[in-house]
Amino acid sequence: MAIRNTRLLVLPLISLFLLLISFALLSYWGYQIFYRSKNEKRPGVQKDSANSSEGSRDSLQKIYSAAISNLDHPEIAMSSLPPDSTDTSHVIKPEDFYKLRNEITDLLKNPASNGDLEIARQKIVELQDKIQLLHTRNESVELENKKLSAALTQLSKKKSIEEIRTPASTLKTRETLPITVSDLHLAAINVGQNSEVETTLAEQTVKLIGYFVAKNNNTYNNGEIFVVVTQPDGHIMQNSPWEAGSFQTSNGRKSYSCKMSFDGFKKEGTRLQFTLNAENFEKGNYSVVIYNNGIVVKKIIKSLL
Amino acid sequence: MFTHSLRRVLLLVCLLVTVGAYLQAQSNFKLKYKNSSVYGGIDVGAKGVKLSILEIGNNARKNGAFNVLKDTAINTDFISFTETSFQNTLNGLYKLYSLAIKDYNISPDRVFILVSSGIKVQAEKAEKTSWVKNLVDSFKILSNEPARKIPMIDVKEEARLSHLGIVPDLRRYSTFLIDIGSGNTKGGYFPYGNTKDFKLFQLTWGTKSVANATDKRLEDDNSLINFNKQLQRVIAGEANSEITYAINVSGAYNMNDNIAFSGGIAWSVATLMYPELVDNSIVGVTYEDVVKFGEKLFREYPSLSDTEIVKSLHDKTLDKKAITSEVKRVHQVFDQKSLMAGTALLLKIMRQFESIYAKKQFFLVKSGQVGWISAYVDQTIGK
Repeated sequence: MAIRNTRLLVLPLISLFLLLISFALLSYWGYQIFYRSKNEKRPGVQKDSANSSEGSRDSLQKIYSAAISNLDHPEIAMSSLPPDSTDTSHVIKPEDFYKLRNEITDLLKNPASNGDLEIARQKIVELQDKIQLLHTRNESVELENKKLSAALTQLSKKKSIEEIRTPASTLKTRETLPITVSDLHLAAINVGQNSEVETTLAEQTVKLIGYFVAKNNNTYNNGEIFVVVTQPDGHIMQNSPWEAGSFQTSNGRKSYSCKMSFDGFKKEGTRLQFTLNAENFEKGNYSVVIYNNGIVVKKIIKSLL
Repeated sequence: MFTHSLRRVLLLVCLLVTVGAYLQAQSNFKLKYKNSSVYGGIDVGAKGVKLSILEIGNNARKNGAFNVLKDTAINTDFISFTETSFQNTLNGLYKLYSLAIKDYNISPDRVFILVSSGIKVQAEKAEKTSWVKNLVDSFKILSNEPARKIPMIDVKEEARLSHLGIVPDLRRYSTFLIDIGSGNTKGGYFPYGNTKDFKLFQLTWGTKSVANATDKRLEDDNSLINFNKQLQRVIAGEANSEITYAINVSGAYNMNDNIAFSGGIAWSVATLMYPELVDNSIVGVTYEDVVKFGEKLFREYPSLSDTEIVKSLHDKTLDKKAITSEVKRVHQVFDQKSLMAGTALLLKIMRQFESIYAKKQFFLVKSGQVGWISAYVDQTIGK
């Protein structure tokens, strides 16, 4: 009866032992599955054997190579950032990249301990994060570039249409002229007793006085301004044959009324004045045309009654 | 009563006719100045008699305002001192005088006659001054003007009058006037700030004499290339020493800012270089411009024809008819070789005034041959 009771006690103990072993095996399996799935969430990073430093180093080397291969030219990746970008918090500079890369390479080549490998792992993870960020940013920059290129193409198409519609003569702006002439005036002068008075009547006119401000638009100008004053009868006014002459224009040689000089290097406006005398002044329109470098830079008409 | 009224009417008609005739004289020409008068000047020269009708402005002395309205000449060759040349000169003189007072309606007191320095020099050299006196006396009888004055002027006075007539007062004492003639060159300036003392300048070289000297060197090669080569030799050789010496001795370089050239070659060069300035009696030029023109005369002569010149002008305000006529006139007076010879002489003289230290201003005077009349009129009226 006692032996029979002992056999009955051994059986539950064996069952309990087997149950415990099963539980331990299941726990270990569960533990393995849990950590594998956790590590698989980071691409490229595989759970290495903590006890095998050689295997761990090889594994890290593979991960590192894979990360680097994703980014052949970090300089190009950096330069693709917009130049006016102010958000530089996530930007990896080329020198930082190389520094990080060299640190990882050194750690992987000669790991002093498992701690070094851990540091290497952390640095690789950091590198991977930054590379991922660069990829994301590159994609957005490329997208932005595509948008800008499309906008530019559209703009240039629009401009060429406008150029066809606009005559070439009107394209000459003030900036394209060698000088800018402003405040051009022609005054008819009557000389009274000890005084000169402006008049609008031809028969009272004794002389014409013209004045204007010339401003140089180029770095250097020949400093020669020709004034052509044409009378109502079409003749060009001249003070004296000794002061008269002709000059070259885009439309051949032309007689001038006055030749004036100014400092060709000066950028500031220069006030210039000319006087034309004649024995008699006819009624009608007197045109004043200012030339520089053979180009008409200003034109006005003065009427005498 | 009736007779008295008739007399008054006749007097009025006579007055109107006289005034009308005077006005017609003035209106026969296209006048340039508002307050001006028309004068006639007859120059009895060595080669012929020349009549110039001039419009002289009130301020002619101030700014050289005179305008040549007509210019007519008759070749008589007085200095050959033969009976025929004497008679031809007398007839030519009377014909041109009549033309002035009858055809152009200029009153006799506005017609001036002078015997030029060319005759004076040759007559004195040949001891034929009595021929000149006979010519003057014969004309007075023929024209029935015994009181008329016909002075004979010397080279210096002619050059002085030309300066007074051509150069305006403002440039009087800073201008050296040089008249390049066909056989010689003369001119001068006022060195002491008064119009009495005149420094005369003379050369035995003129446009024709340079061309002749070049022709003599051609030998059997009459090509233009050889003419140009020999011309440079004449200018650099025979003419060089005289021109350089005469200009140095004149002291003109230091005393003047403006160098003005008159004479046929000055008129021709100015007309061909600047046809657009056809109305201008004076044209400013640079030494470099004339050098370029000289090259053009030699290498691109066809481009200086009247048709080519007018074709090159695009300014619609220009009187192309007048330009054509003036350019044609130049080619009638000078051929290519004469133009080259005259331009070479002009350049040689200009070269003496070219310096890196002081830049002189050069002018070409177109109507220099009549400049003395303007001065003579001014001088005579002022007395």
